[in-house]
Amino acid sequence: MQMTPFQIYKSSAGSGKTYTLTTAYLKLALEQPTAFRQVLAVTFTNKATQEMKERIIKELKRIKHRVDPQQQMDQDLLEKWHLDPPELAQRASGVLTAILHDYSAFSVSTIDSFFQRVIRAFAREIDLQAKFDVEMDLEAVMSRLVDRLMLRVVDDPELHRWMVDFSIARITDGGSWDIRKPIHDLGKKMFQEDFKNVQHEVKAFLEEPDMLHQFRQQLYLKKKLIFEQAHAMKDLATQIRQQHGLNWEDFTGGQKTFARCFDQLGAPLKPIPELSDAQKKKIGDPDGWATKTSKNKAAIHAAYHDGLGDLLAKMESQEKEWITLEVISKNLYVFGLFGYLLQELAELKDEENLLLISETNDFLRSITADNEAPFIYEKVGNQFQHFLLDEFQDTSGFQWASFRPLLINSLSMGKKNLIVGDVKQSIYRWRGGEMRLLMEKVEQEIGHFGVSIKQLATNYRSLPQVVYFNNTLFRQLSRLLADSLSAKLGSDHGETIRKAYAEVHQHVAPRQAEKGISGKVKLEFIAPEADQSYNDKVLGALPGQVEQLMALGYRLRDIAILVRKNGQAAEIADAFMLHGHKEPNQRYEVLSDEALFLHKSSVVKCLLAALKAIDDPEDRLSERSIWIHWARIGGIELGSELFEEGSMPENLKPLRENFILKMPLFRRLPLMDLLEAVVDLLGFNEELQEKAYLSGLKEAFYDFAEKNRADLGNFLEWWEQQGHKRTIKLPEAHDAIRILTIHKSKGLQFKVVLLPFLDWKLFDTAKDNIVWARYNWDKNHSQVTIPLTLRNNLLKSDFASIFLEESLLHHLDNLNMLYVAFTRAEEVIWGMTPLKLKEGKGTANLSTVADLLIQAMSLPSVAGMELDLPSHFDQEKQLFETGEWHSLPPIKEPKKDIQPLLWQYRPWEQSLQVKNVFGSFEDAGLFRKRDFGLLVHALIERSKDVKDFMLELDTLYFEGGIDAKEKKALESQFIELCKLEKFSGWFDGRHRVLTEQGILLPGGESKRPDRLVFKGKRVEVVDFKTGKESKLHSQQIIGYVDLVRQMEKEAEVEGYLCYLELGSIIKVN
Amino acid sequence: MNGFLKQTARTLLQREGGLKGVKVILPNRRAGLFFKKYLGQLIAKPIWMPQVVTIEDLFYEIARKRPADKLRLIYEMYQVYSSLSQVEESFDRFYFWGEMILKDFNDLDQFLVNPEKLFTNLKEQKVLESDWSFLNPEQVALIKAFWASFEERDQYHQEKFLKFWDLLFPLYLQFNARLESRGLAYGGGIYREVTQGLSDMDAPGAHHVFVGFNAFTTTEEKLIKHLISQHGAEIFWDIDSYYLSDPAQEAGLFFRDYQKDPVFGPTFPESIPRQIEEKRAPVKTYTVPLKINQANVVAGLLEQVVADKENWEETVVILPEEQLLFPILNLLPDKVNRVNVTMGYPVKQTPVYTFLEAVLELQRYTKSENGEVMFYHKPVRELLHTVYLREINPDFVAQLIEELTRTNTIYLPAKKLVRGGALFSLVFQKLTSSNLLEVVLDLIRKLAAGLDEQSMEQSYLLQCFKQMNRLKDIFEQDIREEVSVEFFIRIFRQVFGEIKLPFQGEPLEGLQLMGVLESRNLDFKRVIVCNMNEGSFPPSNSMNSMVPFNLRRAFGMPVQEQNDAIYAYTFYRLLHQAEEVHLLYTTAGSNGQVGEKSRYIHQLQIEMAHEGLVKEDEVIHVPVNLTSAGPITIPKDARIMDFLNRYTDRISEGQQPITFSPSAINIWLDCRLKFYLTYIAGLEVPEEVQEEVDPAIFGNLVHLSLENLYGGYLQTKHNRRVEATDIDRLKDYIYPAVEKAIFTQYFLENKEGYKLTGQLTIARDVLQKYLLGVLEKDEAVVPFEIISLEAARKYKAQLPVKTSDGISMVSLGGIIDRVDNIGDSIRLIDYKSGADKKEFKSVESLFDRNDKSRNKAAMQTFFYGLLYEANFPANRLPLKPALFNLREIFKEDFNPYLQEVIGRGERKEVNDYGAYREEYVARLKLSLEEIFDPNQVFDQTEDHQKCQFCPFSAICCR
Ligand code: SF4
Repeated sequence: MQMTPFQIYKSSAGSGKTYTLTTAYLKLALEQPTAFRQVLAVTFTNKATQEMKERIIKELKRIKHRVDPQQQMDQDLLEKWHLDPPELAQRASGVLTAILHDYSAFSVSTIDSFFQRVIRAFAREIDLQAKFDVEMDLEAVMSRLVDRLMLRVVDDPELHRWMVDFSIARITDGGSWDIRKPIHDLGKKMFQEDFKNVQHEVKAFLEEPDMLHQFRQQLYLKKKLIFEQAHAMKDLATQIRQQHGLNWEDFTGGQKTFARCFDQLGAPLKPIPELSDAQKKKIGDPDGWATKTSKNKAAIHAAYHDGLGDLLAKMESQEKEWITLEVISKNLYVFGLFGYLLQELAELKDEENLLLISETNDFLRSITADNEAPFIYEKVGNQFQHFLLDEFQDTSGFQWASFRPLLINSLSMGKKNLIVGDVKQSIYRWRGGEMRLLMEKVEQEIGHFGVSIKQLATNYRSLPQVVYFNNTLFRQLSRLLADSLSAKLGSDHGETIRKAYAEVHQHVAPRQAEKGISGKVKLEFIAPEADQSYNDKVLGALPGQVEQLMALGYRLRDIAILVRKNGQAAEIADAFMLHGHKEPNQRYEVLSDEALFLHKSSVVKCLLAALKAIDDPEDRLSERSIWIHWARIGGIELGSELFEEGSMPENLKPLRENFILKMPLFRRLPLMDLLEAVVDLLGFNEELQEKAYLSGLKEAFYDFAEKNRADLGNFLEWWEQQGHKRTIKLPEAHDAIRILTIHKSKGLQFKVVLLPFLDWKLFDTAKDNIVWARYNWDKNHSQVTIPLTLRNNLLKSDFASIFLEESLLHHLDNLNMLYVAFTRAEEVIWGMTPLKLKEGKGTANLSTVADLLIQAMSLPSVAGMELDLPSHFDQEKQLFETGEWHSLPPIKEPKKDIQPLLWQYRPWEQSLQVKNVFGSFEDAGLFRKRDFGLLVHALIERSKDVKDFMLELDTLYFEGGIDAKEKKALESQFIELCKLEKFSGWFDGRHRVLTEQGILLPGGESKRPDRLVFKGKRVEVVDFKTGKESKLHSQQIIGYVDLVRQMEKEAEVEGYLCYLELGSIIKVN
Repeated sequence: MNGFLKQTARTLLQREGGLKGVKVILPNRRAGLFFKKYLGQLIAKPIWMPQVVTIEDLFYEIARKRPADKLRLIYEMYQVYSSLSQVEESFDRFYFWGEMILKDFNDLDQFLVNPEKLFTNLKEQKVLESDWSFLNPEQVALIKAFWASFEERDQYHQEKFLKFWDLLFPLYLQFNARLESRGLAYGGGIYREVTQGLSDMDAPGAHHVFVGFNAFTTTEEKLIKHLISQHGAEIFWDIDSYYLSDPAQEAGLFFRDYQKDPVFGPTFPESIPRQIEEKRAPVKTYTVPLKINQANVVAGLLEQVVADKENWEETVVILPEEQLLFPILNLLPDKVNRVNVTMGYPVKQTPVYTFLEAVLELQRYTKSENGEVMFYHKPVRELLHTVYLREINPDFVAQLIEELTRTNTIYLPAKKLVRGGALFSLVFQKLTSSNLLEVVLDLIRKLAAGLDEQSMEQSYLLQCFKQMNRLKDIFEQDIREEVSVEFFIRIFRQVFGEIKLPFQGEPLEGLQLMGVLESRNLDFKRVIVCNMNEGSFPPSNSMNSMVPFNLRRAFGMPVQEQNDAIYAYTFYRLLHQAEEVHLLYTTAGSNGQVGEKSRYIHQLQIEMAHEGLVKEDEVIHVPVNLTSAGPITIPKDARIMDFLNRYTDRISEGQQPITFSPSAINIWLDCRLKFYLTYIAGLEVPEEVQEEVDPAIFGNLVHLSLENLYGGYLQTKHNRRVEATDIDRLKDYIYPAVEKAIFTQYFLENKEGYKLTGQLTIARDVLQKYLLGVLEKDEAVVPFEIISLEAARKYKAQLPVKTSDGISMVSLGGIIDRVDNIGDSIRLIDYKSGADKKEFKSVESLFDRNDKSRNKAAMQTFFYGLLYEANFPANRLPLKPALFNLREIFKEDFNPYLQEVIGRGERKEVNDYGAYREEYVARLKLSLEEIFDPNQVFDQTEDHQKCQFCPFSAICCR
């Protein structure tokens, strides 16, 4: 069989990745009309999935109408099968039709949704329950777990003791006694992939009885030993010092002598003092112990050789051991709780029938590892032969492990597969993304099928200067960082960075070069000022920047502001809003998934206050808040009458009274109706600017009611916990500035990119990142795997190598983040970064991206760089600029009709009523007598004969209308009636019987006598009645008889009334 | 309009002999209603109405059997399953699998699959034997491919699969046998039985006319063909050449097959209608940001597009997602005077239902303690808030909630709750699977008793009642299995999720709102479809089956392809007679999905080419601007000034005097508006049961315990001196001191039987540790004499302050946690459990509201100096303010005294309040003057940090 190499596309930013993927897809799909069914394209997000689908359809549509041999894509396709353009067009047309009409088989999906399908198909085999729910909100799961744990404490003395110890350990460290937060924070690591990698070891360790206790004991003993040693060392040092008649001040440094460290030995929280670099230099260097001029030189020398020198050296190694013990202890308590947490988690999942989103990869890995690909496909119902994987740099190790068997299966059949990715854009490591897969591992693992690697080296996205700038900047930055890391961490660390950025250089696309405009890059280095923080300064500057851009002809939607954290997005959105209020003609709308929280809206606040007040009449503050917000929305002045208990502005009184009056009524309404009614009462269906927020709140209700018990109390609680995170959604086409995080910006591009907060840390050790490490704690036991908090002190512990690796990866992450941010722009990059006053040069001082950027500004260019950064940097103004601004021609937006929306509440009961259900309750039995009669009636009128009756009776019983006892009663009543001869004649099945035979009258009205019995020439028209005899009944039956006569001209028609309860039959004529 | 049903009615009426003895079979009841309506419009004198039934009715009628209830069926299956399977599986767990298996059995019966063949295990047996000849080679290939995937080494999952697979055939047989012996049946079984009996079937009494069908199951096909070929039955097809003659259109999938069929073929009309092409109806598509906004668009369309005198019944709004019904119904424009809704009112949305659900959920949070049933406070509270309990006994509920809050009760004993009355006793009891149903029934009856007989609530209660009755019956008589309450809740949800109350009204009049499938056979002039999203229309791929895909295909059971074809037909059918089409889809996702527009929109926009079809989706905008949250400032009017006078000797007649506490001053300095809201407007912050011991409560506990500790001890002693030996004895008091504090804090009267919550048990042990820490620190400074402890004494002072009316005497007051005399100084001690610092920059800084690190604690302890002096004017000893910050209590170098920062890194310990007095009092007076300054408005702080934990932050929009 011919081998088809596995294709790897390494695609720098803007290099036409989507284009490449689409082309690859089409090359497979156009083979024959249904070939697309065998292709699975995997994208990173749901949004990307949709875009990819749209893109494929768009290209097919285009090719169907006109093949463009100028286009690379079309060229490739034409060449592949040696077609001429009309033939290709025809193929495209066929494939397009096939896709549109077999859309379910059009497989472009995210990894997660594909995996979930597989898991559903295997649910039974992997012991899941049928109909499980996939839980996405792990944060909420963790909260519930902690709550459960706190409930369990009461009945579990072991757990209780452990938690108390934990709490006390924390306060001894000066923390808060409340341990729920640390449990929550560390506990949620168990959802992460790093934990999954070690979970079996951890579980095994924790489940072993007494193991944890021993471990803790061991740590305690080791620490105690160090204390003892430290005290002994201190005593020894003092003794030696005194023997030589010295004071510590006599040593080099005088008052602040290095030798103080001997005195600090054995301190309660830190028995081994941390040695500074200067102190460490003194190890093995007796000459440095006394100043040249010291009169005690000889004595000091002697003291050194008498043991002080050795003591100092010993301190260094002791320090390492101490810190090692410390870092282990830090998380020891929560670690000890992991066993409990895992137990509670298992119970929770079982009770609520959940599958955590974080588990899908676990399950999947076991499925793909334990089964051959064909069996998987058979179970899933889709046979895939080709895989196209996008954004591969963010694929996790587990995901890869799950995919690999499928890929290998495909490759071994000689099928085509490809992955696309860019190590430089790997920024999802915190979610398990493993860029080394792309960098080297994949090649190693499936290289035996042959691998073809292609670099996509042309940038189609950006204008020339933007490309040149990025080429230069990232060459410089990666070198800078590589050198720094090599120096700090060792040379192979720098090497990784170099390797990742080896192919950073891109060509300008001819199409961009031909435009004749350069593009613009502007970087402002902002010096701190006493009265204004960097944040405030930047936030203040943004509206001005936007104004400047608008003057050039950019539209709001051309501009994106990229930030590092969600909170910054919110700050920016607020700043623009504030600005708009101050300068009404510079009102810039923003669009952001991260910032436009529903709860920012006064209307939403007002409504929530109202709902709280309805739910809890004791909640005076909420009740009052309604009117405060209401006044604010209505532009009414917020005066003291609004706030003070017992008073209310005159113009609000009637509304408030109305509200209070309706409260009991509101409480009886279903949730959605309740909201509508309150909205209406408060007048928010009128002209209102905040409709998007109002709609957002309604949508929250809507979503809530679908999944949860839809009552107000439950909703308010949900809102408290989850709902407040909701933001409004605006259509993509909305003309507004985009504010988004760099993470979310991946894969997107914008004409203008503003980067106001270029200030993040390259290695943020304050974030409590967790790494799992193995530790040899006792020679009689196997290693334990423990969670360590990533802090600088790890470097001085036995875990230094872990720290180094993490340090490298963090640096790379953050450089990548910068790369992604800078490469989103088509035309303009405008960044701002804080300038440190005390400027430290050199690689040692690289701690934030701001440091990187400022240092790059002074690096001279080297061969092959298009730009000389220093020559564009204005030292005076601290400003970097390259390229030219250019103005855009005004764009005429075509005028479109706009579909007006209607906002008017009319309670649905006004147009519609629910039908009264037949029947009623009674305290003793189920049905009242009259109803019982009705029931017999209903059964009888539907039954042709006795057998029918029994059948109908069964149906009623199955539908829940009656229980077994009642069924019996009805049955016997019927049998009783059958004792009447006339009656049984209607049910014996000997005559043709029509039940419920309608008579249709012109115009659509119909009559329906209960029973027509055809006895030869004679027709008996029968109506069954309950209750007493009545004239009306006779008139009715006479009417029926008349109608029947009109239709059955030949027949002799008789009318009968049968009273079911009385057991009487009357002939009517 | 001359729609399909009307045309069919006309054709049938023109037949000789009228419609007596004619049986018209339609896909659903709704089509039947319309059919009859059209008949009525076409006749001039009374006629016998034909029988109008659905195809299901027809089968059940022929078989004279009806399917039993699903729950019952699954239980019967479970019984069989349990006897067959070696693995124990509870009914709870089996239920949903059973549901799936039942569906598969239904399918295989309806499609006349040979179960023995289907469920054969062909893993070993590579060759299919001859009796597989009923399959064509393609089908055989599929089966072979499936079993070929087992060729590799034995795998764990495959083993499991086979184990289960091997069970299915015996399960099928025994299940059927069991049902038979019990006189029960399920849908598929009935269908199969009918087709098997065809050869012996009597001639039907009626002439059968099948109207408007699309896809038949194999059994249906068999029956209908039999009726056609043997008894001259007819079929009327509701079709259009647009999809029928284009083999790519999945909508025509079945018709194309039927057209070729020797029996069905001749029933097709000679010329296939070409209405879609001829009508060329304008089609517009709207993309809507939120699901809910579709309702606004629909209302806008109805308001705008539909002329006033229109026949509303010619307009339909199709709702693929039922949940959108009420949002739309609540927004209809006034001119829509009649509405017809096919879907019914979902009982699960009603408050009564949610109440019942809450009652059941309560059961998940019960526990038993010494034989007493206890309920968790959260669900109890939610239930008490409901109108159903509150209105019955408002006083009881109010009092109970108050008590709950005050005592921070986490678990309530049932005996307390049942005092509310009969309904309360019903709700608050421990349910078991044996009494559960009876109780719920009782509850429904009780709830209904108080209601108006005509009310809607009464109606849905009755509906619930009926269902519960049925459930009860099944559980009592048939299912003798212990089920968990959780399982019961799940079943409860499932059953009730499906109950709908029909709406009143003439179904054929007014604006029509309906689900996708109900629109079958109906024609409308104006078609509005919501949720034109993949996943809604067509609905998402949900072919849940135990039978793998390829086997389903091979044996002719429906797969996704068929499903897709059915939905495509329902969509295109809507275009037959439409003169105007509006399609709405939403970009809002749910469940992590993005809103993707429906394939049908793609199909139309790409394939249909005519003028009126707008190829670009219109984007719907909703106004988004936010109201600005302007500043709040409250000027001091006469009333407020009068109120402020209560702090002074100018207090008006009859008013209660008040004093400034140090925290009032601190609040004033933090935010003037907060001062106003707290002390003048008197906005009360509602209390909540804090399951957790929050910092404020913990702080309280600290104070209380320390007071108990020393206070209690000193009472037993005759003097107030504390010596080293006392400390030792005090250590024994720690435990009771903490215990007492907890009881005081939570207003617990009787201690017996009370059990602390998890968090509190931890807090208790931690408190003990803290107290021990304090004693150890005290031990280091013995002997000392305790002068006062907090509650024992409230210190007061007066200060002359300049106000607009001249000098006033302003009252100050406060409680000092502990005053003691140690050596030569008097210590004024404040206990702190937070992270307060002891350093402060200067006295001035204590009153500097712009200083972000203003030391409030220092401001407060100095205040104590002032109070102490005022109360002990004769005192000559230095006053030493001290902060016992408990977080530092374990530090070896613990030092409680305030430190003034002087220059870099240098601190000066405050040894005597006296040295600071002058400046402190001056600064304090300035602040007080500010408070009394009529021109100083109450405004908001500039420092938003301070708003973070302020209870008024929502009011301020901070
Ligand atoms: S929220 Fe802020 S501004 Fe408003 S009262 Fe509280 S502290 Fe003052």
